[in-house]
Amino acid sequence: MEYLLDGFADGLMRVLRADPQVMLAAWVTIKVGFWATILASLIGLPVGFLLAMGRFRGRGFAITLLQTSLGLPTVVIGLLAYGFLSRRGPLGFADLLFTPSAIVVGLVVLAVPLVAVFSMTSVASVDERVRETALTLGASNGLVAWTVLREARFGMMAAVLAAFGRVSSEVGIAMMLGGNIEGYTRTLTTAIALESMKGEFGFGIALGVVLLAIIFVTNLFSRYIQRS
Amino acid sequence: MKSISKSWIVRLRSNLQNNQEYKYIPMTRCFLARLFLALLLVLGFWTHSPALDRLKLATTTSTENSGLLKQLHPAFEKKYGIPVHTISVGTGKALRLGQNGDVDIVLVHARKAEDSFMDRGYGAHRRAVMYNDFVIVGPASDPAGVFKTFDVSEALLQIKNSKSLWFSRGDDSGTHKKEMELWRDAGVGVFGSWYRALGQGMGRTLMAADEKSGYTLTDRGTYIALVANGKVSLKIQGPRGGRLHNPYSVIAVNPKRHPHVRFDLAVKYIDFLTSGEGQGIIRDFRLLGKQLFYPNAKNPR
Amino acid sequence: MEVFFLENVKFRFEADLVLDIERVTVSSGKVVLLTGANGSGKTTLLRVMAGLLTPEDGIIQYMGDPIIFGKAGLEHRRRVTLLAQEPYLFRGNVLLNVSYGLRARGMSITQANEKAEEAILKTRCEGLIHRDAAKLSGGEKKRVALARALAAGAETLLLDEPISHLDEENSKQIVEIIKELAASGITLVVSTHIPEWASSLSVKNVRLAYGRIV
Repeated sequence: MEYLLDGFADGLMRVLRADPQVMLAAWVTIKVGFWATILASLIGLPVGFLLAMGRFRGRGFAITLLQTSLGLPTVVIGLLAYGFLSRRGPLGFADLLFTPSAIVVGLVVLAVPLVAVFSMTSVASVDERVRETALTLGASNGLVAWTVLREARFGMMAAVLAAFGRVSSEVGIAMMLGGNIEGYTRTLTTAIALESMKGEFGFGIALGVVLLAIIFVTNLFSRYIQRS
Repeated sequence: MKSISKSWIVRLRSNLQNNQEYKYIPMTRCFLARLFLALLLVLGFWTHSPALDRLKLATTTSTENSGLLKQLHPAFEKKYGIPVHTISVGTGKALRLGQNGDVDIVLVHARKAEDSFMDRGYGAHRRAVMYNDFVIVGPASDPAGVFKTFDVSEALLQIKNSKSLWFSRGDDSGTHKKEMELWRDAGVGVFGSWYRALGQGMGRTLMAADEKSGYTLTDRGTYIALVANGKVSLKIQGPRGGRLHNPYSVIAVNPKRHPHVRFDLAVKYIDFLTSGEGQGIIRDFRLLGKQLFYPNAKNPR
Repeated sequence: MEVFFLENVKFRFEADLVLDIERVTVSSGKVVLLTGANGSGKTTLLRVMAGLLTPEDGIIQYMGDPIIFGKAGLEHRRRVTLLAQEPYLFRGNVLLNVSYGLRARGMSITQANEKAEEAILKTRCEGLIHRDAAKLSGGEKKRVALARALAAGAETLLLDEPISHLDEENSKQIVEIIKELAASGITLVVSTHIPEWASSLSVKNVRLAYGRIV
């Protein structure tokens, strides 16, 4: 029990003192998470929108595929991405392995299905009357689609924020593709993995607290948006 | 379509023009959301950094976790102005990263695996750097009575015969390779429920052995580091030296196999590690007053 | 001049024939009242006339030309606007809602807002102009939706149960607005299941039962 309490005390002290190692890992986490979320949204939002609005062959199959990939363990994604990004892999020439960009690539693969499925749900749950209202008010087909999109915008925003929460708490991909290089690709989660390996309980707690704070703020913002 | 996306500006404008007293919450919320997005975007572009000029080193957790590299690398970086990026994994994984050309250089401790790495042409330049030793650690009560043994095989057999708990890394690391070699030499090939393969790093394995009062094989560095931090209370039991010798080598990845590797930097790094300066740092490195590594580069300059 | 001309119009929902209109005509600048019990097909008929539902069979003309349904029906939908019984207001404020039809027709925002304000005045919504549409009461919603339909500038308005589920005060206001609209010469087709309130403005009463004219 004392061990546990000491760990918490040490951890909180480090947070309050803004321990440079903790802050650096937090910065890398936010940076990598930001880019992964932006890129995943650029791909995932249109995909989700098309799946919700479109009627085309293979749509049901595509949805099932996406929902299945939601359950993909991150280490599997990490391993696959390593296979691609390694010097021996097809994308090895880009020299991305063990850089923040490599983590971003892996996290994008992780987050695209999430953003797509969430945004698909939010578009599909838009009131059926929106389409007809837009039509009878003289909207062109493009404007009808745009109007539906606008009505779903809070749900889509929530999808984006959920993706950020997911990618910033991810550890397998960050470890395998980033290499846990201190001050460069060491994220909060990989730092926690390392510290727990070394038995540094307090340091691990400090990192965990910061990670929780980041995710908490993200969720707060998500709630704030959805409340309207 | 464009007109809709611009509409918030107009809403803002018409709000300003309107003298009526009312609180327009949705606009504020909308505005805040946009402000947040704008901030994020600025943040994003600011943080975008181009690829670095760097030396990628794959090494074992034992060298990284001991803190030795934190003494060595700043000196190297200051001298050459090139950052060293350390990826710490098990020896087996480190060699595979070198084999795939994903790193420029490896610092490992598994002689046989290193030999095979060199024989297959993946390494170009190999130098001995330092050594420490493996030790068999166990609970202070020493239930298997290995403290008085003089031979590693004897110690291991006594652990096996007394069915004392043994914790193995089980992760294809240099330490694990060494452990398997020692069991083979002792003629033990069948393990019972007293034998626990964890598939974890050295630190976790030591902590598990400590919790369960079991024995394990560890490099002295990691063990001392954990004892110094008060994480484990295991004692060194059994014999020292001899076959428990644990030499570290540094190997540059062969540029003939992987033309993209920074062979020039790798050679500089090797020269630095085996130089008088590098060897001195290794010799002087202390953890709670204890020396962890012994430099043994041949012909240090 | 006949604005609407419908003959033998049939619409089926799954297997049920929910609409089977022998003949309906609507004259320009007049008010036609569609009456009948709930479920008699009033809403379906209005949606067909608005170009939102494609009938299975029949002749259906607007201003002498056959109505084009589906994706290519934009022109008809810009000439005839339907106010639904339970109108949907878009997220955003009232002005944004009312100016929607004008912006859909490519008008600049400033211009659209000016025109929208005219419709807002006509429907006594001036107090609501910057309110969040989601936070309006039922009666306010209906008035804003009416303003939005009106602002779109259609030649013909189809009003589906404009005063159902409204309290007396709100009903009175809407009735007044409709009377003003009728007087201004716009063609109106209004459905209701309690026709008394509208008897003063109706020139023609079409009564529906089970999808047929009776």
